[in-house]
Amino acid sequence: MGKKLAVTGNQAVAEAMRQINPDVCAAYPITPSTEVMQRFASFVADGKVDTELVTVESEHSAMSACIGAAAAGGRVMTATSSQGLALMWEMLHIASGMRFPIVMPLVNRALSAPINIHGDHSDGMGSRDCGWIQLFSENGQEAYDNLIQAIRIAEHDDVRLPAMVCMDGFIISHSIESMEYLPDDVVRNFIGEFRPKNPLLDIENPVTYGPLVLPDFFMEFKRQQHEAMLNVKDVVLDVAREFEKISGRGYGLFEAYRLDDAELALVILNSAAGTAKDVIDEYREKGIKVGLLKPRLFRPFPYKEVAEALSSARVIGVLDRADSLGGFGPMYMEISSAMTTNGAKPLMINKIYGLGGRDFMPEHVVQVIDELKEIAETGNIRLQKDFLGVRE
Amino acid sequence: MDYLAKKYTRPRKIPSTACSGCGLGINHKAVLQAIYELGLEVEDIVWGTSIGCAGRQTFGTWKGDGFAGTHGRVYAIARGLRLALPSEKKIILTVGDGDAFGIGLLHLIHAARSNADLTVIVNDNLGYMSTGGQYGWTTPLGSKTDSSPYGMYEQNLMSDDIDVLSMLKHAGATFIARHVSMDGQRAVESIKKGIRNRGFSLIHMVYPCPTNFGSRELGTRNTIKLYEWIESRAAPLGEEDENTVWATGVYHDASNSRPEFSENIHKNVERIRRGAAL
Ligand code: SF4
Repeated sequence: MGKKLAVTGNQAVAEAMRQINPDVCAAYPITPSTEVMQRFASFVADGKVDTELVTVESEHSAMSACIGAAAAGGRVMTATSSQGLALMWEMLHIASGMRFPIVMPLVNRALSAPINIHGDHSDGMGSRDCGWIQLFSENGQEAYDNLIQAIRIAEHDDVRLPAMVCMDGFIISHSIESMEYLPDDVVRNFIGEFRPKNPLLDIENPVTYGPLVLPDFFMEFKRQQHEAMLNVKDVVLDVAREFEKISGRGYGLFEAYRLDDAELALVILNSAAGTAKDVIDEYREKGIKVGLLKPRLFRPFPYKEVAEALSSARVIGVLDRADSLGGFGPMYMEISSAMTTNGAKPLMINKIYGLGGRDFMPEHVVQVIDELKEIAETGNIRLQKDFLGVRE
Repeated sequence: MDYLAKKYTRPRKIPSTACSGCGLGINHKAVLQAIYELGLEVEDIVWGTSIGCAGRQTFGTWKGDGFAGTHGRVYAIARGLRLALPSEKKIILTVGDGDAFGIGLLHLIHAARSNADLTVIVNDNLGYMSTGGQYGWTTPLGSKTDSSPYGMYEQNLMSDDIDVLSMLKHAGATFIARHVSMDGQRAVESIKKGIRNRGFSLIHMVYPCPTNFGSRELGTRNTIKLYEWIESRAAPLGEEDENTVWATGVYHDASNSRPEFSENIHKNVERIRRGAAL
């Protein structure tokens, strides 16, 4: 069995990276993810990994270096946050378009302007359409577990796509929680040897990456990426089943918390879901049928499964820690798309919360559940989209 | 409160949130002193800042107009601003070494190439100190940092006879100087020359970061030890010895010798317009 320790989210992620022992890592510092690569740099300096670490002059270069190393045939990782991810944006598409299974922890932080270093999901949501698999993590344990699983998912023959593993900046990255590490050999056996596909270093079989593809074939490329994305769900579940055997910790496409018979449902990502669970327990004790769906796999989004899990809900409150300004929050859009797939017509509201790291407190959950209750009783929605804990 | 701080800065930003013992405030004060000695007022200057300690601690401090740029892009933003502002308005940028010489180097070189009338003060804490102390583009060889526990060995822009300042000179900058925080009035004089130059000026100013640089390299956050460490490695140009890392003074002064970026554009656009009208 693994070791129980009290560590920060960043520490846990760096430890997973040490165990994964990638061939190449590129590093460029940005708060709050810096510590991941800084700790990893110590592992490199101390000879605890075989990784070649390259320190570059920007995040754009970090992702570019990862792409180069992946094309050569290496298992490749980097980590970033916020503006760093924004600067990588161009290269995120290159990584996914070239089908490189690069794995990257993303320590979620708000995007400028105004500049803010605290956690929200605007960086991850902003890269939703970049062709990367996105896994979200409630706490350090999940981030650690997800990162190890992401290697298997990204590198799977049916997938071969890059993956980012998200956790909340500061709230998780810098808070100490007790968690469990797996033994090194268990992780190494689980992820297995990296098998490069069409590497540039195979000089007997020359290949070209990223050539010009005009209207005659471009759509076929994109269609293939989409098909690969559709394979992700099954792979995620298979990998999770295997992971449970080595860790005792079960994962799915999402976590359903007291949702089976729930008439009122909340949908919340990452750390705030933990806060909501406690409040849900209190309401359940009062006999109110409320539950929570905490998405784990956000890209590709498991519409059908989510809709089934939420099928008993008459009213759904979707909480977003990012906003599509002028539209609904990104999670709300996914949930409302999901709910059209099974013909259910629940009443739905969207709450934007926690932007720029604003605290999300149990009383906010109380406020939302009370509003869901009122909507269930009256059938009236006052405001479809609103903000939690904001000054007027 | 300091009389310059009162005159030019927003009271709620002084004292800054920099760590105690940080040398950035000394550099910041040298800039204010230069502005004061040139007789410039709050409305004469637009102040831009970058990311990292240098950006964060000088951001929103200037009483007048200012902006916070994204990491490394502040030079590009400032060139746009230069085109739009009347020529008598000065643009001063306080940025860090990572911003200017790393992520933003391309934009910096193009600002120098075009001789855009900007005064860039590169406050150099010898690496990425805001993110915990990783080595960077000016970290002295052999220095211990968070990411170089056995000493920084990478070639950078201050090693092997490579000097970022000579790159900038050849790129077209018309005024370049280097100082350390302890240079006092000598630094102020260079900044004044930089502001007076109607073209691209850059003053590289090394400052002590006790929290991250000092604690790793010297094993202590003792401010005095770090100040001495820097001072003993700095010497005026022409008085260097084998310990000198930072030769201080004016490296290059070709003030007002080349056409300024915005004037050049305005003049040529005017010429073409006149031609088109004919
Ligand atoms: S980390 Fe270093 S450079 Fe930054 S404010 Fe503190 S002492 Fe100054």
